[in-house]
Amino acid sequence: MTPAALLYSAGLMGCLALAGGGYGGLYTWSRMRLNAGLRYTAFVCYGLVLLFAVLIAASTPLAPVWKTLVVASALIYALVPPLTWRFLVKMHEPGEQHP
Amino acid sequence: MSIQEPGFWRAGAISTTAVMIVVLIFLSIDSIQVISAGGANVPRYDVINQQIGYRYDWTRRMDVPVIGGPEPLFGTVYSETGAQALIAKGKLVIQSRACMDCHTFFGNGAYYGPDLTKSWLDPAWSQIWMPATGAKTREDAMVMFLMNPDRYPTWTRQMPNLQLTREEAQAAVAYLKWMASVDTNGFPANFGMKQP
Amino acid sequence: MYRSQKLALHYFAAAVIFFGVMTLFGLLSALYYLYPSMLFHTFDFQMSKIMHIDTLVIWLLMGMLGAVYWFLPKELGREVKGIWLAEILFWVFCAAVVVVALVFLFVQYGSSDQFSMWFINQGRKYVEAPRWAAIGIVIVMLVFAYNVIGTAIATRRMTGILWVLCIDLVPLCLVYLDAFPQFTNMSVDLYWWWWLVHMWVEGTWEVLIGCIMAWMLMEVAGTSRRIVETWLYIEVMLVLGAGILGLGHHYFWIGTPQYWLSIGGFFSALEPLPLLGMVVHAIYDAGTHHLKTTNQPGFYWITAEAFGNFIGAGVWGFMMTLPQINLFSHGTQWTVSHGHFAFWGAYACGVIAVLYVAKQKTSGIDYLSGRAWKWGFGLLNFGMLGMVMGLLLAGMAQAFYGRAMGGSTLMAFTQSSENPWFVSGMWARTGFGVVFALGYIVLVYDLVTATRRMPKAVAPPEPA
Repeated sequence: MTPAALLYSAGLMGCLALAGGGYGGLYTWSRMRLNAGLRYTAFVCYGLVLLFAVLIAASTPLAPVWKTLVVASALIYALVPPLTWRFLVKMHEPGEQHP
Repeated sequence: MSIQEPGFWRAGAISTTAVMIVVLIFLSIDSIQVISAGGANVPRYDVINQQIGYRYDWTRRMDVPVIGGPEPLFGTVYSETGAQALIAKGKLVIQSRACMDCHTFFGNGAYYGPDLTKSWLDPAWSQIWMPATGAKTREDAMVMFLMNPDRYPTWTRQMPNLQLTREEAQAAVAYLKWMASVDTNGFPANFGMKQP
Repeated sequence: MYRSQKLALHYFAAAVIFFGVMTLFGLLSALYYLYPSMLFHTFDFQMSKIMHIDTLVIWLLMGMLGAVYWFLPKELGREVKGIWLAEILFWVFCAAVVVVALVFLFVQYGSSDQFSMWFINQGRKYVEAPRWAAIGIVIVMLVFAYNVIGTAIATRRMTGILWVLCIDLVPLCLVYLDAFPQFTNMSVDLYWWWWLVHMWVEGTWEVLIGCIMAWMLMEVAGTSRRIVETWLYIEVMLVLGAGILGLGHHYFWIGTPQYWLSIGGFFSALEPLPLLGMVVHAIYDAGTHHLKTTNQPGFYWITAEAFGNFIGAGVWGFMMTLPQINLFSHGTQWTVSHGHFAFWGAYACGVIAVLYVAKQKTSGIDYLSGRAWKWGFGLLNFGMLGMVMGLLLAGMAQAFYGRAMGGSTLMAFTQSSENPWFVSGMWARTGFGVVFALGYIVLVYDLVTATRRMPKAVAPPEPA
């Protein structure tokens, strides 16, 4: 791996995870506030996750197996916040409310 | 049992952990065999009697150590037990002087000093310290440096004098030579093959 | 108040003091990079580094032991079994830490014999403490285990949290025994050393702090036991399910078989996903409470833990642990950056949250807030963020110039360490280290005085 490719690949990996965090955070916040604007921003963040995944797959010297794993994890990112949200809401249903 | 029930996740936690521990135990049994001295990746201690190199392997696509012909250390051919005793002493030197809290070994340590994984192969010994110390061999230059690092300062971050005896310095050098022979899956990459 | 909770307060006080010692030696360690001849041959870098990382382990361990001694009697409704022994052990523990610190400060190192291993310095990162002191820690852990299990048996009552804690005590005591051996073979040594660093600190500690956070959420946010226990099981499943073989990312380059590259890379790549779930949970809890609780600082520090953990362990980990990248990033300041952020997010924030909860309860005030804690919170987190960014910059410069370009030799290391990007990163790290230290001072000031400044009976603001 060339020095430039090293920083480029690592930078994209970091950006992907950070955008994933942004998506998860904003998605949850939008559900709390029922705010459409926040929700769109969350989906923009997820769009960035996909963009970074595509860039990693298309333009880094990482081995195919790692690229596949990165793309798969980018797809799983889409599911984590909604599934966690649904799980949390179900768990906090009547009888299990916060005071 | 629904996923809202704590029992569902308790069962998941216990079974997942148990499976992972079993897998780790099997992998550890195999790994310890591979990394024991004389195992597939870690040569016996008497490898210090031989030449050690580091070359890119195109089939494995990584740098690998290459064990060559005879190259006695300090002009001595060590028996297997003699080499083991010397290396054991070297490890005690490394621990007693807390080398790991400045340097790194296989990349693990404190990052203040250079990594010592392939230090034996560092061109700096022949390019800098052999002329500086007047030593005729790499190992003698290393011993002289380790005994009096403050006498041969190379840059702003100096190594302190840790009061090593000659015997201790020789043991540490033997340790570094043995360590250079360990197959580390290509770490560090391109060692000594590029110019900074 | 139970005697166990009084003991907890002692542990918290000791933890705060050692947190300060850690910060002080962290700053000193940073200064060596800028002024390398500083204290040369008097107190060299390695001793400062040892003080920094060993007090890190000690203050977090003391904070977590204190937290368990705080919550345990409340959980079981009775005094902790054998508390007198734990009280004695606390003072023995403190005395042992002071003696070891004095040896590190004034004796520093010995010659290459077993005497040095037993009485001066074992020279293995994080477990430099000589063997006699390591035996002391084992005894403290065994008494701690006896306190927890004995109390549960005495009350004939077990909760889900206590089950997890009791099971965790087994590896917590056993894996620490790894602090003793002195293997000749560096590969074997590091193989087991990583069990200590990864499995003990990052595995059993994660479970321990998980139990503490479960109690905390019930205390601060009033979350029901069923919910926190469900989350605790999920956390244990994810932490140990991914973390046990996640050990693999430490086995890339120590001589271990090549299959560890695949195993370590796989589990590391998936690491951010469960942490993202925790972020969602933290925001859900914060949103449910509209960020209003009876203990504002405690609640904010718990929330910071989820974010810190995601960014420190998740983002930083994802960035640097695929083998192809780790080949160059491993063993540089990049690793230091990851380590600082991950420790901060995973443990430090949680322990600070517990300190605030204990403070409120001992003072008998209904609502804890004010301005000082916000400054402490802001300065500590901003300082930490700045430090890790500085270290990241320095680490990337090292990986770029020293590793990928230079080929990792001494000259490559030297030149990359003199590179302006590296030097700038280390200056930034030191500057933000000062900010962090200021945050520590404000934190201590607030912990000491906050309850004096708060009226005794003030109701918390109503949720918006």
